[in-house]
Amino acid sequence: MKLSLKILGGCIIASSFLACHNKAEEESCEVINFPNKDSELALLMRELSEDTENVKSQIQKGKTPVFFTEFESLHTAIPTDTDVRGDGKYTAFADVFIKSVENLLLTEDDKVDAYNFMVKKCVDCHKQICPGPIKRIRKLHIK
Amino acid sequence: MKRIVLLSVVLFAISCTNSQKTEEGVSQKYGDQNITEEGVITGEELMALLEKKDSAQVKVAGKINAVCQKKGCWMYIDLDESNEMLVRFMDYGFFMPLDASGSTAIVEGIAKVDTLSVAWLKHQLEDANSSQEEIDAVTEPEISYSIEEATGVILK
Repeated sequence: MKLSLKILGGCIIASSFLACHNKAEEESCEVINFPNKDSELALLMRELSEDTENVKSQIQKGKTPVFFTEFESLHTAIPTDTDVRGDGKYTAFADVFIKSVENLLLTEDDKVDAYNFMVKKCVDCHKQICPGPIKRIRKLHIK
Repeated sequence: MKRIVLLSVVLFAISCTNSQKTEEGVSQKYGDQNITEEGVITGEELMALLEKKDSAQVKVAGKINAVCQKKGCWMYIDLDESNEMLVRFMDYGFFMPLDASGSTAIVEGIAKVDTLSVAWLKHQLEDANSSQEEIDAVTEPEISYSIEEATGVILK
């Protein structure tokens, strides 16, 4: 084979490889939802939110609500904002919230009312401490 | 022979150029993974749109000028040289990288002119690691362009 044909062949192969590589790069638009390091408390809140979605569904179906979240961790998980427990407000709100969960699990009265009261306690705390997720929390209400 | 070598070199050079362009264009998606750049408008176009209607479902591009420094749960993008827009994310379901300031964002959601409460403005300053003096200085709500629940973002 002539040298010129060998060069042409080599370049065509190299060009094809690079073209394919380009296509792969174009398609590598990655989806990332939480790109920053999450604190223990942020992760716990995310877990609690998913747990509450499930409990909402259980109550709507007339089933007994079951939580998997370890609620005592609300007092020990490291928060994003390290001085969040400084003035005692967070601790007081966490205690009230945990009592509202206990009430929901134990009450023989209307579970919907007890559940909505618990969600309200989440909102009350977030109004004072971290308002970002309030809109999402309000969606947990059972109408 | 010369022509063949020249053709080969041109082919190879084109491939290399394309490769470089694509690497520069690598972007990341947040939230809705099906978001595309199709139909994207500028900040100026959005402001003109909101002069005619209360709110508009849009895909708008703008340079990020500030990001929540605690979690990345809100950001401001420039609409033009003197106007900016607050962007928050649907269901607190995705955040921006803390170092995203200076990048271009394409944001999809319902845009409107919103009143930002004093409580929110103070919280925002806390998230931005502002001084207590700056936080205490906020006493009035602010009118601002806003996408309260962005469904997706492309970051470039």
